[in-house]
Amino acid sequence: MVSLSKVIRPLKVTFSYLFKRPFTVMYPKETLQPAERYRGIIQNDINRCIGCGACVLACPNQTLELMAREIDVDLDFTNPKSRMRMRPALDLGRCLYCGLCVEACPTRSLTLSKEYSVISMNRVDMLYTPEELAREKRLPVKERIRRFMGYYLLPKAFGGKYEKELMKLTEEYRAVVSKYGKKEITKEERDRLLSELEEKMFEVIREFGVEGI
Amino acid sequence: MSWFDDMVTQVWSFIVMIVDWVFSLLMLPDWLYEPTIILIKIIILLLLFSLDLIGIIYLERKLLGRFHNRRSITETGKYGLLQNIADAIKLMIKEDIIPKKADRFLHNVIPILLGFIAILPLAFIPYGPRLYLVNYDTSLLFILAIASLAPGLVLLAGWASNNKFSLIGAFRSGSQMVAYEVPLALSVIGVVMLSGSLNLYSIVEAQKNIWFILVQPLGFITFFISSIIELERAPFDVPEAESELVAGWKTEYGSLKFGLIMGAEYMHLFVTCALLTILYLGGWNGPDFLPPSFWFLLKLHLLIVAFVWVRITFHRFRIDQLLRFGWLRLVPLAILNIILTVLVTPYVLPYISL
Repeated sequence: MVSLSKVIRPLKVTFSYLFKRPFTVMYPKETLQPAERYRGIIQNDINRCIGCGACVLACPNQTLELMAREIDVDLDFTNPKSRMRMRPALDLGRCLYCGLCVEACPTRSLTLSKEYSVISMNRVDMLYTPEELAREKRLPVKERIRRFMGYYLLPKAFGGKYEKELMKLTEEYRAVVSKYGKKEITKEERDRLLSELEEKMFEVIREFGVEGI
Repeated sequence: MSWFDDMVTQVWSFIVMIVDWVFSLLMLPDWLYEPTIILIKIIILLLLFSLDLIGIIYLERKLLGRFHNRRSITETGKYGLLQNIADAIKLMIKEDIIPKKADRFLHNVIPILLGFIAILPLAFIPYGPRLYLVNYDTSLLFILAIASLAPGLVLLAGWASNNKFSLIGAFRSGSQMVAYEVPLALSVIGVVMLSGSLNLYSIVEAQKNIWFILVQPLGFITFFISSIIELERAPFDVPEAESELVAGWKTEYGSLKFGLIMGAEYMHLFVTCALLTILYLGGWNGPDFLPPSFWFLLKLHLLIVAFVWVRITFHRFRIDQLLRFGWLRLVPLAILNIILTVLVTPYVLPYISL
């Protein structure tokens, strides 16, 4: 009779399982609440930030870079003196969520949010402008690439020969911007040179294969 | 409560009327009439059956999920109802691969034969008092005979694949199928003794007052266990033990051939549950608030749930344990069941309507 209980008991156990709630979380439809001290994508309070650049120095992966805000179109961002007007931008593709930038921040404007869902089909979606880092809005792909032109984050987001080509173009771009900052060229000249460089960079990125440009 | 059977007969007479009309319209010869009617019957049966097959596979997958505390298929269609159809289409459009040194003819022809012997017993199963294709005097014997064709085909399939896993799986399958045909047939003998007939229809008729599971529960258990083994389902899925033999004798079968083999397996499941229902659970007999055929299908599908339940509960046997269990436990139990039936028959004979 011992062997018979060995048959009946497992049957009872599995039958009781039939009425339990399933453990499955239907992920895109329902999400789990992250832990209390979960380290998600970093977030910046753009008004509290003073553009000191401490976070840029603290970052072990060079994912952060100071960037001119959307309102400062004509800012010479190659000049170290204009740093106070700039705010950090992020390449999430290389971020390791260590939180060192948050620790370094003197005004506590940088924080770690609880967002963890970062899915994208191209590397440009991983770039965050200062406004995007403040969660003010999300730019379309082409717009975002244009904002990142002249900054080292853009070539670093790509690899191999694309990185080299983009890096060369980025240096040229920065040279033009700094010339305008020193009043060596007029605004029209600058715009012409920059738009030429922009076209070249877009061509490289198109060759790499980013959709939507 | 036979409105369902009435409805079916009405629909059927309507179909026959259409066939008559077509025949008189096209001046078709008389000798074509009978084959046409039979063909239409077969097509209707197979259509309904493949619908039910999809339902059975859905039921099994859903139940497996619930037993595992997960949700199983949910995405395709409402509640994942279209998932099986999607899977079938996927199997159809997949590439058909035949191993280089395989016996091409046998490799190709065996899934078809397996499907054929799987749907053959359907003709002999009485679905209701007026719903059956053939009322044949030795239909039970015929179904058992067809079931015993399977081991040979499986052995051939394993050999024709030219694969070690296939061959080992086929030998295991052959040995266990041959071994368990004995208790299967022996446990059926009890029912045959009680009802005095090999005709499935009259076996069901005999259970009007008392179901045979009450008279010989031992026979039911032996039949149930040995039919699990005949179906090669867990916990007796030794021939296709995934952790040892990839997929057993089906290893080299892909695309539509695999689909056919899987379909045949579920057809076997259907037929086995139908046999269990007819032999032990009283077929279509039941309280009057449901049509008889509904009772039959209800019992059948509950038995399928029982099969899934057993599948999810127990771990796999080793092949030697399996064979020892068959010869040293099930065969004596089946013989004991026959002896008990002989002893019990005088007391239950008044309740059996012959």
